[in-house]
Amino acid sequence: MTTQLRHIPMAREDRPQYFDDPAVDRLLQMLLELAAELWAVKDWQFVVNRLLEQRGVLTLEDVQRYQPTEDDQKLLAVEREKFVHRFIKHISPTMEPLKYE
Amino acid sequence: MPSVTLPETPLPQTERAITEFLKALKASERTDRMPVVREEYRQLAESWSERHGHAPRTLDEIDDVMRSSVAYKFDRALARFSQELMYARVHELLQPRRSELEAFLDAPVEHPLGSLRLNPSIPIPTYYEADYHVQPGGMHREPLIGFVTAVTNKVYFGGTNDSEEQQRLSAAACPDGPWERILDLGCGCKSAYYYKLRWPDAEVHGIDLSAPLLKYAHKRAEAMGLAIHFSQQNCEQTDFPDNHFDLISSCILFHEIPDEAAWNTVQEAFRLLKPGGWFVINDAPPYRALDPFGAYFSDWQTGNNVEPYWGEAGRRNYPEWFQNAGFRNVSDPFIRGEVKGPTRIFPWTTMGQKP
Ligand SMILES: C[S@@+](CC[C@H](N)C(=O)[O-])C[C@H]1O[C@@H](n2cnc3c(N)ncnc32)[C@H](O)[C@@H]1O
Repeated sequence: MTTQLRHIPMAREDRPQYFDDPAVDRLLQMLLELAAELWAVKDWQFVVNRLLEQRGVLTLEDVQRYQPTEDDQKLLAVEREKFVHRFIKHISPTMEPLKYE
Repeated sequence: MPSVTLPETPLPQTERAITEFLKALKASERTDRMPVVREEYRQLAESWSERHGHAPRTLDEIDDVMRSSVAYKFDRALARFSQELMYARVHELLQPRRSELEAFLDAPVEHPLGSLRLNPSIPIPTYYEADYHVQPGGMHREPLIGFVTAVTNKVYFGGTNDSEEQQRLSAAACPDGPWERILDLGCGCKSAYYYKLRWPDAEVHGIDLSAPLLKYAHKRAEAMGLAIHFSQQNCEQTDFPDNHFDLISSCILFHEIPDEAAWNTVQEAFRLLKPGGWFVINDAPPYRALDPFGAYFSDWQTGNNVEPYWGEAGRRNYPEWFQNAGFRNVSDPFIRGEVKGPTRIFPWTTMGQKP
């Protein structure tokens, strides 16, 4: 079994293209990122629901009625920015990774 | 009492969930995706065979068929992208603790059972600069690589803790002994312990080119209460004297070095062994042990998972190499009659004795 001499990448940035149109590669990366986040959220909800139940502190209704405070909004904004960036960075392989402050 | 405790790197809730998601995605490779890919291959191969007058046999011919399989493209792209996602998340997780963890690695151990000998001026061969497994920083440019490995193991091998089955089996595959002095080539931070655990009275040495991996390995050995002597050396040429070891073994080292380095290493092992000593290579099975489709899948690693020497390694005939280097009583699973059909036996163990 011989294989033609071909390009063998040494660097992680030198990523093979899987689909004829590179746009499909990037879409799939976005999809994977979303899927991972979505699963994390479902898992988190499960944990929180369990805790709420066990301690009898909250009802679902309380959750529905809650209005995020200004501080909440700030925290959510930071998380949302990270989330959007993780997802969006795949439109270009040259996009900077997140900075860690 | 061990004088070292490894810092824990617990996964926060979200990271735990994502790790488990990636594990499930990896498991779907075998359970969901492979059957679909095989079926698509079967259909495409039929029309390919009609056009060419014979079934696809070589890796290039199989590749020719697979290029038109959409299922295969998705399957493989997901394999690559989930690997990248995993490293991105692990690095994000460790980043805020960088200075604390680096300080831990650099701190000396008081009254160590074993030892650590680093060589900051060791020449690093170009082949070693690969970003193996798509790891950021490859094997030696990321100081936290030991911690990264500790986390990523959980995705690769399942379980809540590192299950180091490959490493344990590699030690178990060695001739029985007892041995006085043992050397683990390319020990990284996972394999040397299993030789010490199997032969507690032996003097066990581990060498590797990666300083960060060795620092972690040393701390881990001390935390486990195991006396192991680590040193930063190239397995092609070490500073140990002739006729020094009774057993020299390696666990998944050889696919990470090119042919020339691998041949040099076999010869070096011959020099280092005492007469009557054994040399053992534990690695993935060669392509000739797989069916062509299995070999094609194995070969994917070469171009897609930054395993630049995987393809050359898959084509090596170690028993022949061992003979040429002077070893006798050479055997591999074929010679020992352990192979019944196409097989993914791991570890694929080649061994030989210095006369
Ligand atoms: C896949 S890892 C296996 C590590 C360990 N044996 C285990 O079972 O986990 C391969 C190891 O070989 C080391 N290595 C690669 N080339 C080497 C060389 N020329 N000399 C010494 N070590 C080398 C790498 O740094 C890496 O730790």
